[in-house]
This record gives sequence, C-alpha cells and structure tokens, in this order.
Amino acid sequence: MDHVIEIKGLRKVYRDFWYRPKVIAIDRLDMEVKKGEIFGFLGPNGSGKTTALKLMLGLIFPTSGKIRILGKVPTDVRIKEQIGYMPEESYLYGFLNADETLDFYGKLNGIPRARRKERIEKVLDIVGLKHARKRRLSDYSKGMSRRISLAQVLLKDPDLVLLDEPTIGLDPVVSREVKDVILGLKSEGKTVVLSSHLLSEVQTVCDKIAILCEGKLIKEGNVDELLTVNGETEIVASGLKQEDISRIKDVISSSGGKFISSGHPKETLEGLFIKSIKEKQESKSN
Amino acid sequence: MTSKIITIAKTTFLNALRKRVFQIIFIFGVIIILSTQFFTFFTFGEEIKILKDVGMAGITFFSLIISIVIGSSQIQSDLEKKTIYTVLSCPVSRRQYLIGKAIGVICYVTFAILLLSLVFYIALSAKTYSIEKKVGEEARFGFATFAYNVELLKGIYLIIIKGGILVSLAILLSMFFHQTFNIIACFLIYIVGHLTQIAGNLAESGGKVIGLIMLGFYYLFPNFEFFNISDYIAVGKIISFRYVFTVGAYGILYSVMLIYIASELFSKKEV
Repeated sequence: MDHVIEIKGLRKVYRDFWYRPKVIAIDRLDMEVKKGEIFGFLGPNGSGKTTALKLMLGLIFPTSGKIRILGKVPTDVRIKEQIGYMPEESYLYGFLNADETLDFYGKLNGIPRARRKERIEKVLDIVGLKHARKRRLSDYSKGMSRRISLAQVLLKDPDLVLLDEPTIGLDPVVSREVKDVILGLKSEGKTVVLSSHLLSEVQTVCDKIAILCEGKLIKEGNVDELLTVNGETEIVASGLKQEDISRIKDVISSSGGKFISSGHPKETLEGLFIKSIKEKQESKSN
Repeated sequence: MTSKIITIAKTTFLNALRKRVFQIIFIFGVIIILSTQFFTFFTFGEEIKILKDVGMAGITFFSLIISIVIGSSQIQSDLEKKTIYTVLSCPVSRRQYLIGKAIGVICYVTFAILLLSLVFYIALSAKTYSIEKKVGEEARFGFATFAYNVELLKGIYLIIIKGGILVSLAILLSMFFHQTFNIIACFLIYIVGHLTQIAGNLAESGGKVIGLIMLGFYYLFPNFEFFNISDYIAVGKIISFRYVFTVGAYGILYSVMLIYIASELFSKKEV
C-alpha cells in the first residue's frame, strides 16, 4: 500500500438545527499522502484543517466524497490501532495522573500489560515527564499537557500520526523538542500529517504541504519545489576576501547575470534562542 | 472488546469518585441518615418505624440526585471537554464507549447506595440497641434488626435498580440535551414515572383516544412506583421474593433497552 491517506471529492457541510447548510468546512478536497511522508496542512484559522483531521479519524462524517485511511474507511475501528492522534489541546482526563493516563490509553489500544509498562517508561522518558508521572494532569502546565498528549500518541507506536497544531502555545525549547520527535518518527518510517498555521514549523519538518483556505485546497506540493525561487542561484562560501567578492561580481556581470546581494548568512531566531538557552543550562550544570 | 468496556467503566467510576461535588452530596446523605439517631418518640415501634422511613427516603432521594446528576454529566462532559476525541481515536467503538460509561456510572451509584445503606444499617442497629436497653430487654446489637434486614435489603436492591434506570435515562437524554435540560427532563420523567399507574387506570376507564394515549404513556415511561416498597418495609410487611425478582428484571430490561437506544443514536452522532 503506497498511499496511507486517499481523499477524493471530500465535502463537509455543517448544518444548523433546521438542517439548513451553515458552513462549508471542506469543499471538494482531493489529496494523497504517501507512506513515510510528513505532510503539512497549512491555512488560517477556520480554513478546515481540524475538520479534515476529524474526518480522517471518523469523529465526524463526510457530507460527500471518499476517504480511505490505510486502505479502510475511517469509521472502521480496527485502523485506529495504527493511528495516533494529538488534538490541538490536551484533551485528556484531568483527574488522572500521567501513569494512569498512559495506562488507560494503553489498555484502550489493546497493548498487553508487560509491553504497556515498558512503553510507558519509554515514552515518559522521550517527553521528559518521568519526574511528574504521579501528578494529576489538571495540575500540569500547558507545555507538560502537550508533552503527555504526545506521549499518548507515541505509546502505541502508530504507523500514521495525526497532529493538530502540535506546537501551538509552547515555548521554543519544547516546540523544538516536539519537532525533533516528529523528525524522529519520519526516520522510523512513520507517516505524519500535521496541521498548523505556523509557517516556519511546517517549513522545517514537512516534505509536502497543502494550503487550505475556506475549506478549499489552493496549493499542494513538495515543500522544496514550492519554495524554490526559479531563475536565481544562491552560493554560500567561506574564507573569501573583499577582492575575491569583487572578482565574482565581475564574473557574474561578464556572464550576462545580475549580482543581487552578498553578506553573512543569518541564523534563525529560533536557532539563536535554543543555542542561548542550552549554553546557559550547560554553564549552570558545570 | 469486554476489556475495553471495563477500562472505560473503571475510569468513569474513578472520575465520579474523585469529583468533590458528589463527595459533598454523599456526606450530606450520611448526615441526614445519622441525624435520625436524635428522633425520640414514646413507643418502641413508632421510633423504629420513623427511623426506617426517614432512612429509606434519604437513600432514595440521594440515589435519585446522584444517578441523574452523574448520569447526565459523564458523556456531556467528555463532549464539551473534547476528551472523547482521544478516546475514540483509539480502537474503541462508540458502542463500547457508551456501554463502558453506563456501567461505570451504574457501579458508582450502586457503590454510593450500598455505602449509604451501611451507614443506615449501623444507625438503625444502634438505635434499636439503645431502645432495647432502655426498655429493659436484653440488648442484641446487630441481631435485633435481623428480622427486617432481609426486607431492607430488598428495598435497597430495588433502589439500586431504579438508580440504574435513571442513569440509563440520563445517558440517553445526553444524546439530545445539555446537562441542565437533561437534569430537568430526568426529574420530570421521574415524577411522571410515579404516575404511570394512574395512566394505566385511565387507559382502562377512559375513552378510546384518551385510552390509547394513556396506554402508550403507561408502556413508554418507566413505572417507578413498582420500586417504592419503603412504606411496606417501615410497617414491617413482608415483600415476596417473586415480586422483587420480577420488578428487578423489569428494571434491568428497561435500562438495557435505554442503553441500546442510546448506543444506536451515539453511533450516528458527530463528536
């Protein structure tokens, strides 16, 4: 099976009490996600990203069109064994602690006791919540709640991971950790579909994107291809002197090209932030 | 399949147990039952009768409150807090989820009724002991009440069954209504359920149309009057096991039917 997700002509119309159409949340959506891809849903608030994920999970039903997840319809309960879902907020039971939460979801996913115990230890380690495992989730901070929500997804080691705004409201350090986990999933051959309106996040982790606006697919494709500015060439070099740069400029103009700019490459703000925090933490521990 | 239902039921039970509002309701119930210790009347029989009356009424009232409030809140709260998203994204069918929820709430209501009954039993035994001592009889703490303990147990069993019907009703109505409206609807049905016998009589004596409507009324709504045997217990009447068994079976069947309808509706509900 090459395609993990196949959607054809999908339409979702929300209706009011009198069954009159209220909102067209998804309008004739066609898309395919291949095995091992990280696929990003982009779009402003209310563009239909969450609705699309809920349709894929069978939480709501399509008005028309077809969805196949891992070759089956989303309402087929059996496919849920292979799907992990992290909603946009941590919709977990606040009266349970982390251990009880993971045990609960482990049991619902039919993970045998010994493996469940082993997996709980592993995922708590991955999300860094071992120290707070006996604390009730209602006492967790937003960042901790997102981590336990992610742990719940990783627990069953799914083939397909659906993440709704995975880093929203998180500080850059936790956000980076979540992105690392997503990239880790890719390296394990898992398929990840994430929805976000944070463009830099999608750019750093996704292979393929789809841009939704008012429920319609307005752009779809490979991230590198979509972002490449055709007709311009970027050269990155080190150890050049000013006169070398002048010579390069001459070569460009003699070849009929146009020199646009030169300067030092800039680090991203996120990269600088993470580096600074890490340096501070390391100096504190030494 | 069963293990998933049990997992959901256990978590639902734990959720109810950890909720402060229900702990407060429960403590209030215990206080009411224990307060019967302070009732003083002149004759032995009357004092015990009043105590049994108030105690059984207290258990009935608190089981009614707990059943309706907790039954109406469980699924609605999962829908509002969206915890249902993470549960239904696991390999759990909507039917398993709903049955697990219902079993969890019914177990909690049963547990609360049994605990209140234990408090009531201790209060009754203590009172009997003190009266027997006062009137000069040989005090037989714990055994003096044995003769009507069996009748009390029958009454408590039927209160539990009635609680099960109310929980199932609240769960069914939570498919349509938010909690406040659900609670009001359940209380109204509870009152109507005590009047179905009158509807039954009207069905026989009224005209054709009225008779048909009343007949529908009689069969559609649960007859809660069947479960009301506290008055007989208070005056020391013996209730036959056959009656208790028949009414119990009626209550269980009615609850199963309500849960079945709720699960059918829930399987088509968007969350």
